[in-house]
Amino acid sequence: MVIYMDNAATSYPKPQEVLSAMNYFFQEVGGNPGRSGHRLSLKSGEIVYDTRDVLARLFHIEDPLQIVFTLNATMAINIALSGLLKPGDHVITSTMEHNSMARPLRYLEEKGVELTRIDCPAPTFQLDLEQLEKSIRKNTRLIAVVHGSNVVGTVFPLEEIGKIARKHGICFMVDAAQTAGAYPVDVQKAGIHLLAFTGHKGLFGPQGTGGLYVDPGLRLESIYRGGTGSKSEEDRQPDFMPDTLESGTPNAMGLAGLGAGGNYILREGLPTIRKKEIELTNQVVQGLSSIPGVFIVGEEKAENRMPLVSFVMKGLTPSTVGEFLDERYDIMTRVGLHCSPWAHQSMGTFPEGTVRVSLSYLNTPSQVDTLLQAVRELSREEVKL
Amino acid sequence: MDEYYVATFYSTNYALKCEKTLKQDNIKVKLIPVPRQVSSNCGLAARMDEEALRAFSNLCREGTIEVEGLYSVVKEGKNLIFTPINKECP
Repeated sequence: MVIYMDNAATSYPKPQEVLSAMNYFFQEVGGNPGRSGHRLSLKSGEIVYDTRDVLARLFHIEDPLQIVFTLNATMAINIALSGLLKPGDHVITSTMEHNSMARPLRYLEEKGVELTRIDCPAPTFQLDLEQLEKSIRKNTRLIAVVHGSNVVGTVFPLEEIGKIARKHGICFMVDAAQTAGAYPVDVQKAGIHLLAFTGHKGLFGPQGTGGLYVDPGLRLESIYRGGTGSKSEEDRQPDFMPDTLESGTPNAMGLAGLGAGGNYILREGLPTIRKKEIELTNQVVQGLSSIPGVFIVGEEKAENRMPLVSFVMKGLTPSTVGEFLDERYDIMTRVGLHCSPWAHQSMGTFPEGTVRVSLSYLNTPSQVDTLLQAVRELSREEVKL
Repeated sequence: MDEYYVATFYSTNYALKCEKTLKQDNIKVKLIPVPRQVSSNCGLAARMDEEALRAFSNLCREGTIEVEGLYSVVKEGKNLIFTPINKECP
């Protein structure tokens, strides 16, 4: 049996009901959501709407129609940044960003958008809020940061960042790729204007699902246009949500699965999910800390981090460790830079990277025991590499 | 009574939101293909009786749902006659 510990890349396995919902869609529904008037199209539309509704409940969004479905968080971030920012605008971000944020921002920088990156100092790699507020300029349009780091797990304090944004009248955007479904996100409490999330990680949906929440007071210019099933007599893009930002047939079967994943989370309860993830994280951190030659990068306490741990081993490259864990112990980890050169540069682990163990609600303490046993064996060099 | 009411929407998403919101209050509406007599739009319209219409109008006034047009429908022989009614206070 494979021990899957790469949930920060994509969660696996998924709850059975996610598969059942997709199977039901495939076998019994099949219609194009919101396009035709027949019952299969209607059923498909209802399923997609229900998924919007579940996500709205999870993120405390008042109107489900303010959620735009996308393929993933990357697409959502691109729609938000390109739809909002104009040359001359200033954006503040952090040094812990994934390339899904870093690359679109660097691209926009070349087009005349000004960019400031806020440090996240060791050992917790928390965002420096003082520096953040000091960096605000007259033309600052947006604070755009990751919620939970995909490299060290550190979770940024959204409500405090939101307070700074509100005080200065700046838009606040959050990349919740790692946290959506696994850590509480409340767009109203935190004052979030734009929330990008993916469906295939903490929300337990399939790959090819994700979305963007847009504050009702914001008007984004769409980066693509097309059929929406509404205002068909018009050859211009409608201006209402979500149609204005959501053209073309969506991944309805995937969204059926995403809705089931969201319902699974609501039923299990986020506090229950968090409690287990904190216990597993503590087990990994305590276990790895006791092994000679193992160095954990990122010391934020389990309550403030996602269930993932990055580490390096003395005398061994991360790729060697990953290969050993896979081949000898059937343990799946992710080694290298995790699409996050900025983060590894600020951690001092660039360009070799780290070994990342990332867990989900569906991992078990005995799986963690196996991981610790494997790393211990590797540290004693009892294995022939 | 052969009379019923039909509401049309700017977007099928609004129709779906209307159905879901009313269903939560146990009020019955049926989503139907938009009748050709009232709109060339593709997509869905809501068909309802007088009781549902009252609940529907309240939601419109609160701004919870947005409606494009509202019609009363009566059968005359083989034809359906659609008469627009004021969507703010039917």
